[in-house]
Amino acid sequence: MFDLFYIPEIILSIGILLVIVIDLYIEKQKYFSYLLIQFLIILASFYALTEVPTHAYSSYEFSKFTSLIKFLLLVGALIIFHYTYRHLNYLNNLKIEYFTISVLGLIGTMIMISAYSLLMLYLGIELLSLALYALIGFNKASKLSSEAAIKYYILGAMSSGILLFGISLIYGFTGSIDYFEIAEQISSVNNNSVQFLGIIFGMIFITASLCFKFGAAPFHIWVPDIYQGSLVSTTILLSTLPKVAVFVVFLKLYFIPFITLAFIWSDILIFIGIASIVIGSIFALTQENMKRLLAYSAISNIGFIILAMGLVTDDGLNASLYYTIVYSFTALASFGIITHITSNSHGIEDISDLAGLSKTHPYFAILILITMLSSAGIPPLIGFHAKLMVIQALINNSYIILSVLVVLMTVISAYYYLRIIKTIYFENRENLISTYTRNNILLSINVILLLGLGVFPFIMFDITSYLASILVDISI
Amino acid sequence: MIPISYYLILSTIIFTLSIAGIFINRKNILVLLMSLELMFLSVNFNLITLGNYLGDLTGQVFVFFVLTVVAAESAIGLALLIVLFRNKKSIDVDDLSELKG
Repeated sequence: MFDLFYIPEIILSIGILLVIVIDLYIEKQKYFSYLLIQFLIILASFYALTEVPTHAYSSYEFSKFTSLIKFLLLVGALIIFHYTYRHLNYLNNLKIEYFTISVLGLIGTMIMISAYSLLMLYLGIELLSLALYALIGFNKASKLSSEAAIKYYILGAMSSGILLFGISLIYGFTGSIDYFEIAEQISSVNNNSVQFLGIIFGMIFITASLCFKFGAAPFHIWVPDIYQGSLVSTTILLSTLPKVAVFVVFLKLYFIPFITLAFIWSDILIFIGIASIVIGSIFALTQENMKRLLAYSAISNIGFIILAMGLVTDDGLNASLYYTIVYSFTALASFGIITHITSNSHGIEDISDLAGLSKTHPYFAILILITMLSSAGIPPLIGFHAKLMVIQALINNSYIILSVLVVLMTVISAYYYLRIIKTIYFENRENLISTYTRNNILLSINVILLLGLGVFPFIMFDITSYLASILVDISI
Repeated sequence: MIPISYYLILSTIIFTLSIAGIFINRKNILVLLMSLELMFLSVNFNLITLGNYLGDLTGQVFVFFVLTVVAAESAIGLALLIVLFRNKKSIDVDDLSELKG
């Protein structure tokens, strides 16, 4: 029997081409095309969960781990499209191309997750980046949007070039682009040879490029600008799907081909993680723009993920997986709320736009309260457990000074989360906030889960330790 | 026969020049796009040289993929450049300064 492994990817790629054609004929009924896209994603996520993959090592890998992560990404995309459709409609900026391009980016993330050779990795990253360039510049009439797009384009293309240079070095010095063969080659190389030096250089180039895509310091310069310049609907996409995909790429690259070089990349990742946490926490203090603030908060969250990964231990791996899922969940909620409220018929820009929200829109005020407290790491919300796990992993590996630094930075970052809450609840000013809906069930569930999973953290612990256990099956 | 290290040094020099072109250039975005093309060409040069040295076709196949992707990428880049010019009436690097904080 012919084994069909690629079903989710095939459904999405063929389906999306059909949607583009169908949309030409029924241009007026955008809601129908939108529903068609949502249906495609539901179908793909159903197949991602039900197909029982056997391990297949070629340039494209199938395992329980990749299927589960793909399922999570597809559900995330479903929720994001649900949030953004009416937001774009309200701003009179609705084009169905927005969703088709997003789905192409989604296929890119799926290829990145399944990639088992450097060529597939490159193609997946490029498919994602090309979609993101178009999405960031989507608001064609806006100066800020086009400026953000060209900035992201130049820096993104440069980082792709650096990635390719790293890939060419790895290929030249190991003679293969397959993850497994690279791992075998590296483990047999003499540590003092020229070959070893070339491989190290290649690895560092690839690390730099991936850190750029991840938005980690010192390659973080683009993050605040692009978050500010693009539409909120693009920002929510940028801060969730690519981060999860790049995280999985990090895991697979470092724990399969580069595992024997752990003594080198562990220090690099710990340095990048600490730098991201410090820069993200300190630079956010002076921000007035809501999206810029959330961008810096994203940088510091990414720092936690990379720091936990750099420990190269089981508890570090667990903590980074846990943190990634919690982070994308929180980002989904916080940007989701912002898509629902507009000030003066624009998206929310400044924090001061939110003043007095508790009087006029108490429902959204309480949602922002819960989300911000969770991001600040206040128990019993889920963000607390995520931060706790990373700090625990640090202490277990006797990085005491680093853990003190991380706790200090968490305290500093609590200031700007609490400042948003203060603006909402204690500043009484006339605001121009309007919403197109009184409430949204999916958004409420999303926020309540932040609280619920925080009270019963063992549910998430079980999920991530299961994910970690099937990941260990894959690697060597 | 020319030793392989010469090829690698040449491609590294081109790569460094293109990075320098991106960071030092303060005039025109089109020049930035040219530097990006130069960077991808240096990578292609590297891949072909190494593939030839190893007697392996993978490197050359890789180059075809890179060429197609880069063509798509520069098409998007030029489109973004046109949108930027319509909004700002200028493509100077110095004018990209509205996003700050």
